[in-house]
Amino acid sequence: MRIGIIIKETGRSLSRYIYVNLLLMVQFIICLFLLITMLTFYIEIGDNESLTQIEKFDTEKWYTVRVDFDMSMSNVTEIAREGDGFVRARDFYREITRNELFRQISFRAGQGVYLDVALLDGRFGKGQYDDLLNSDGASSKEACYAELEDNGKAFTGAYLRSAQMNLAAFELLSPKIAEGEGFTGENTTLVSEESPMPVLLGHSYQGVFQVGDTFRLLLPVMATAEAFYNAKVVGFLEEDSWMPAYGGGVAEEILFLDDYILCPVGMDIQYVPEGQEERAKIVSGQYTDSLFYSCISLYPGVSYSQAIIRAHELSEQYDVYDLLFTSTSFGMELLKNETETTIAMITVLTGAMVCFTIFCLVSASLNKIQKNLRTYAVYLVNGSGLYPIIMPFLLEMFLLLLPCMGINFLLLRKKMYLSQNYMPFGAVIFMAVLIFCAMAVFITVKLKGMETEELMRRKE
Amino acid sequence: MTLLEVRDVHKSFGKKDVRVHALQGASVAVEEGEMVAVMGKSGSGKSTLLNILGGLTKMEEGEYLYRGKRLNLENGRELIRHRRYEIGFIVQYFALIEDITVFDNVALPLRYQRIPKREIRERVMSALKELGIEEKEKAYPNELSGGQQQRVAIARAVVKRPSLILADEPTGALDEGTEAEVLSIFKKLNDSGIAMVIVTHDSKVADACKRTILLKDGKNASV
Repeated sequence: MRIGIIIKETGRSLSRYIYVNLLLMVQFIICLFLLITMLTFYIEIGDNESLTQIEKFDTEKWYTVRVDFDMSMSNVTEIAREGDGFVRARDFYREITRNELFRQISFRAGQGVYLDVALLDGRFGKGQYDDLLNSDGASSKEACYAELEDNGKAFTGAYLRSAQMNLAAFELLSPKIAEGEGFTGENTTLVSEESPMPVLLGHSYQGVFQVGDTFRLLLPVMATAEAFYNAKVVGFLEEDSWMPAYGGGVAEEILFLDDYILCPVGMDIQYVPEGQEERAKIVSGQYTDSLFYSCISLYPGVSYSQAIIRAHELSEQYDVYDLLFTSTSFGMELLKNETETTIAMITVLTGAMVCFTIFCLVSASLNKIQKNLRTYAVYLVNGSGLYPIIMPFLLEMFLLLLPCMGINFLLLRKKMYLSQNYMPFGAVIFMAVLIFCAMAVFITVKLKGMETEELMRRKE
Repeated sequence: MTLLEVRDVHKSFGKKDVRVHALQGASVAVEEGEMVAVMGKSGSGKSTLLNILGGLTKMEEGEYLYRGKRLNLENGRELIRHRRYEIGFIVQYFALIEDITVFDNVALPLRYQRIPKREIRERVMSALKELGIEEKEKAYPNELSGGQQQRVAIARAVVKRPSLILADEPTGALDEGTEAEVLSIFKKLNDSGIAMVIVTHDSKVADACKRTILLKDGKNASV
């Protein structure tokens, strides 16, 4: 194959038909975008995301949910600062966790907590609790200590291993309790600022702490430095208790909780905290963080798109951040606000657009062949075969399609990366290849029937 | 030695009910370095015969021998190779590509032969010089006169150094003065050893050839 000739001829055709080519490209871009959108709307692709950590103890299908990436922590602080912002964030969370369409659970495996070193030294003996320090990723043991201030009182805090989960997650996991009680609706409902946060301690803490012990605990959150809670030990986990290592970038699939302090997130706070920082702490540390590392499973008869639409409606109703369903398809995400009539209309338009684009492609190719027939005859007479004539056609089509694919890839890459699902894009590439092959056959047949001698004799 | 020979060629066009029999048993033999004219009335099958000689049209019946070797007309690759290396074509209306320069038009057959760029340049410029149009190298065909365009077409036919040139009414679109120039070029080419088959209506062209083949109703009328 004479590559140079093919490239030269492709360049000649591209520049000669530049306006037609640009129009075709715009058409391809719109057509591919609509096609991918509609394909992914009708084909649910959430199946492809596997939550292997949760599959360890539950056989239901779980979909990952995040707080929309576009939301920054300053938005959370903003919500807390507004007069009714705290109530809106809390009620939104309540609706998300208590609705008839889906069940929501939250696990957070990587977030440690700070406790006063003086308390730990008093209970374990000075420095006798190295195994409890959250030293994963820390440069040294010393890095697990920090100078802190709580209500104007300075102290040294030790960064301890901790994990969090919401009540629904705790009930689903139902770890065995060696002593005391687990998280319950009652102890995770805080009625006043004096109500303590219930904590469950791992086996290593048993015998050192007692059920009913209280202490100040810092559960760091991004939005504020004032994230201290009055914590109360409500129970001890049995030895070798575990939870799925979901949320927080922990490499293992399972987290053994013997050295851990288990805290609740998404607690039901029935009062409105007075201080702005306090409200920011709850909105960020309890509600936003809980939703950030959560997943949902659908109740029988409910479709994934229904759940997504409901979540979006709730976020609009309470005027808070949106949720991002990472397993969801691009089309589902984009069209979640549209009515059925609109969607039907877009579907028909997409079909029409695809047909129109194919029609344009065929007619543009026919037109090109017709206008170049004499030139092709000259090529054949001078020693060309059919391939050096057909290949530039295909290369030209490929060069037109490639940037269109690229642009669509750029538009969709975030969704594809999040859901780790490249199926819609693959499907569209497959369709493009089919059209490509059909065009190749069409062009070959058309050129094979060319009457070279007649064309050579024709006056231009 | 016989360069090319076709025997008992049959070729028809059209569908069953309106079938036109262009050739009905015509035979032609061309010796190495020979210059032959093919004459006949319109519709006698001259151009069809020429296209069969050039491997552009397949015959329905008959035999094609090139340098004594049978050419398989069903084999596309063999036909392309035959056209690529052995035969140069010249037609009445020049068949130049309008949107490329004279140089690129002449270089076209060499590009299909995978000849290095440098050699292409040398051979094209030499062909253009020989035909007296080297200064038109960068011109486009529509910037040239009819005579100059035909010289470009001739340069394109000879640049690949074929053993046979097939010309279909090569002077049909030219004035008398230019016709004489083109004929003298043909003679020069023939003197250099290239065989030529020229389809023509023009007796002056036929007179310039060593032999004339007359076709009538798709058959040889006299040789």
